[in-house]
Amino acid sequence: MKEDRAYEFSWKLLGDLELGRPNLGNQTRVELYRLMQCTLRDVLEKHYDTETADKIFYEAGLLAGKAFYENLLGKPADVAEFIKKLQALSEELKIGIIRFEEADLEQQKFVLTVSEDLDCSGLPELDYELCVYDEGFIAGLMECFFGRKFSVKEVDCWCTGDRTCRFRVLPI
Amino acid sequence: MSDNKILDQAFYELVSGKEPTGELSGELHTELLKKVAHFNSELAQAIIKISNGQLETEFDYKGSLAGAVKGLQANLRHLAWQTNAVANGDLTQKVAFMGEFSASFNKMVENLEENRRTIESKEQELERDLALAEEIQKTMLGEITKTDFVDVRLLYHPLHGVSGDFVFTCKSAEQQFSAFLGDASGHGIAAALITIMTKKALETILPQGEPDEVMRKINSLLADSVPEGMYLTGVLVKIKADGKVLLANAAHPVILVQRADSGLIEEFSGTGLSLGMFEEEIEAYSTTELCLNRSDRIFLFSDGLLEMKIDNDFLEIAGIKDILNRCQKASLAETVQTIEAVIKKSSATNLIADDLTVLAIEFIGQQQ
Repeated sequence: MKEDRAYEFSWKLLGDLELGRPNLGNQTRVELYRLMQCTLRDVLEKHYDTETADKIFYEAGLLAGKAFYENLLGKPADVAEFIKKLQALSEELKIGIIRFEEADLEQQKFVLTVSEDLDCSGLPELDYELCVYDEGFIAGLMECFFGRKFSVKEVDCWCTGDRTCRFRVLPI
Repeated sequence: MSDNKILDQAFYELVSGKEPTGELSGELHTELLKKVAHFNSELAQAIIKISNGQLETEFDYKGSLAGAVKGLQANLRHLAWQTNAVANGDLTQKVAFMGEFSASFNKMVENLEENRRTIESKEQELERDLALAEEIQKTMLGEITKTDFVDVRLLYHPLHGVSGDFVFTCKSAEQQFSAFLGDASGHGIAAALITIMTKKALETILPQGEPDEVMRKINSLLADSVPEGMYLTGVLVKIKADGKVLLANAAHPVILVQRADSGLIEEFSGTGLSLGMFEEEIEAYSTTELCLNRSDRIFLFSDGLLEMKIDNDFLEIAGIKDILNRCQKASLAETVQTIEAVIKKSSATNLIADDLTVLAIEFIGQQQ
């Protein structure tokens, strides 16, 4: 890996949208977000392979999840507050409707669903789960709150015919 | 495309509400029908289980029909999780995007939160009232009267701030020390009001008259004033400087008199009914006479002491006598400290269920 990197992520790189887009504002269409994801996934798969493309997407999601937590979620006092803030912010920013189904606080195992997901809801049906970026994103959030690494796996997805995406979250 | 792939694709299309696009041979068509029939049966079983509340039911099919059922299951599981959070006291839970149900659920949680705030506010108000009542009761009941011929020690452990137990002492002009220990039914404010009312009456009644006469007057006052079912038990002793004692017991635990020379402990049981229970009980109370020698002691106590648990047994009279026997050579102050230590030990392992009061009096005779 090059030591002198050009694209190392920081929250500042998202820019000052009030300054930069005084007329158009900070909103855009979901299709454009998906356009970037789909084309990027396409190119990554072509250059490498499906597995590597998924791995890169997961890792990018993880980075995004951590940055999202650190910059937008504040410091939740407990799990209940963490979940509530996450739900509220996901709805406010139109990421998706997050609902928890299980929360084993002792074992730190969770099952949650995302409906109307920014990444996949409404996509054509495929025969595989697609939300690898979401998996990484959720893992990043969990890692920041609990201070340990998590493995997140999507078990149901819009792209396999389900109406809501379901994720199992397990500590590593 | 292999037969299996054609079959899987056709099956997936069918269970997603679409017409199969591939060409199926007669044999594959039969297989497809079997597969769909099996799917229908599994789907029906899953829906029945979910509708019966078995929300952990696994349904491993893909496709929009299976997805719709899993979507319903996901929402129900989320609601179960949220309801559990509410049950555990989290009244900030909200349900979103579930139509009328969201509105009803959120309204219910808001109402619960409002009711909780109201109850908390009422509780705080009640606590403030109780603290005020405790202060008033303390002021009204006053201090223990000191005389030169008796040493008096008080142990007072109200269950709540206010108490149904109370002690009133006074000294009359003719060198007589009087003490009344009462226990009103209940523990709260109502009981405290009875103690204050009785104390006010005793201020004028107690210095004059024989103990049985005092008891009759208190009985009459309470019978006229307190609601049915509320009453007072009490013991009264009047000690003169020459050691002569008059006592009466109205349905209260025994008075114990411990002789200094022999260590013998005498019991004086109640002869009358509870005060305030019946209006006319002229013959119910009697006065007992005895004489104290120097260092003889009198112990008055409420039933809270008898009902105190040591290990798994109630202390009872035998337990109190045992403590007094062990403290025979100790000073009155040390004896009271020992009783206090027993109370502390008991309250560390058992729930004290009643107000608890002990008045210990030692006759020290007239100072020369």
